[in-house]
Amino acid sequence: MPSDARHYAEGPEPLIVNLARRGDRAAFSELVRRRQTWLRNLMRRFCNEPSLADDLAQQAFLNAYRKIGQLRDCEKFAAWLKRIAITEWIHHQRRQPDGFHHAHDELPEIAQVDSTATGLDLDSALATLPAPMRLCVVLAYHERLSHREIADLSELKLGTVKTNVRRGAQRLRELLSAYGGVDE
Amino acid sequence: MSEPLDPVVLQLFEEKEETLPEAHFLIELDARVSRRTRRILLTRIALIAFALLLEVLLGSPVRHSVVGLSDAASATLYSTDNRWLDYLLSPVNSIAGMLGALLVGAHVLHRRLRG
Repeated sequence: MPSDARHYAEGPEPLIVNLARRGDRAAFSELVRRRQTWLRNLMRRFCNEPSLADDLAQQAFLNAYRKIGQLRDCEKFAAWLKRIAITEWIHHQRRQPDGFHHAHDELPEIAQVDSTATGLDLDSALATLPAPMRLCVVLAYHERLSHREIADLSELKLGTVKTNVRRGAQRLRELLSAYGGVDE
Repeated sequence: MSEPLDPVVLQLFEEKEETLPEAHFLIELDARVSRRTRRILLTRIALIAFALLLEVLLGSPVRHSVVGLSDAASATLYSTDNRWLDYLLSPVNSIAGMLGALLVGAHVLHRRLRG
């Protein structure tokens, strides 16, 4: 391993971020190495397609590389990257036929949920939720964000976020218990 | 205050977390970053080459314009009839000087407003 890479691996993140801001590509690579597992897992919860999730994660890192010079506070790199990733997913979702529409009453009947496998896993169950509801549930359960933080990131109303998190979690339990994934 | 999270759903999320192989992901990302850097560099070179080509073909309009602007910007706003005083005051006693002072003031105000 090159000596620079070894030193970066041991360095505190704000220092590495500061170096990356000044154009140090090795420093940015170290940031990617540290954050890629988290970001790719987050995108998998959003997408239910590993290849699409990785593609979106790469696009998020690419946007971060492009904009890192604008980051003023190196301590807030993680939150800043999270915002970029969520924005990237929302933009991707808006380009889909379903868009990023919110509809409280359009959850499919459980019997209509397509499960050709013997069961339904978490990512498949999440994929049945409308995109805004999925976003709120993932940010609440995967990222442990408060409702207000979710509202700030998603630009959804606070009341909508609360409803989405509650109904989304309830829906996940119903789906996964119907397909044997969890006891209700 | 947020409602408490469903412990069963929370456990499902925790169990779903996985360590993902990073080598291929990092190599692909590095290739994308390199492609982007190369694309930006080639675009800049192309724009500069095009600008130089226009400059040569059209009889140096940019150079003539720059010379004209430079003469206008350095023109003295108020003459003191003292050549040495004019030289001393020239950084501020000109259109360029006034623009510079305005820009500095705007920058300071912008920094103060942004906190």
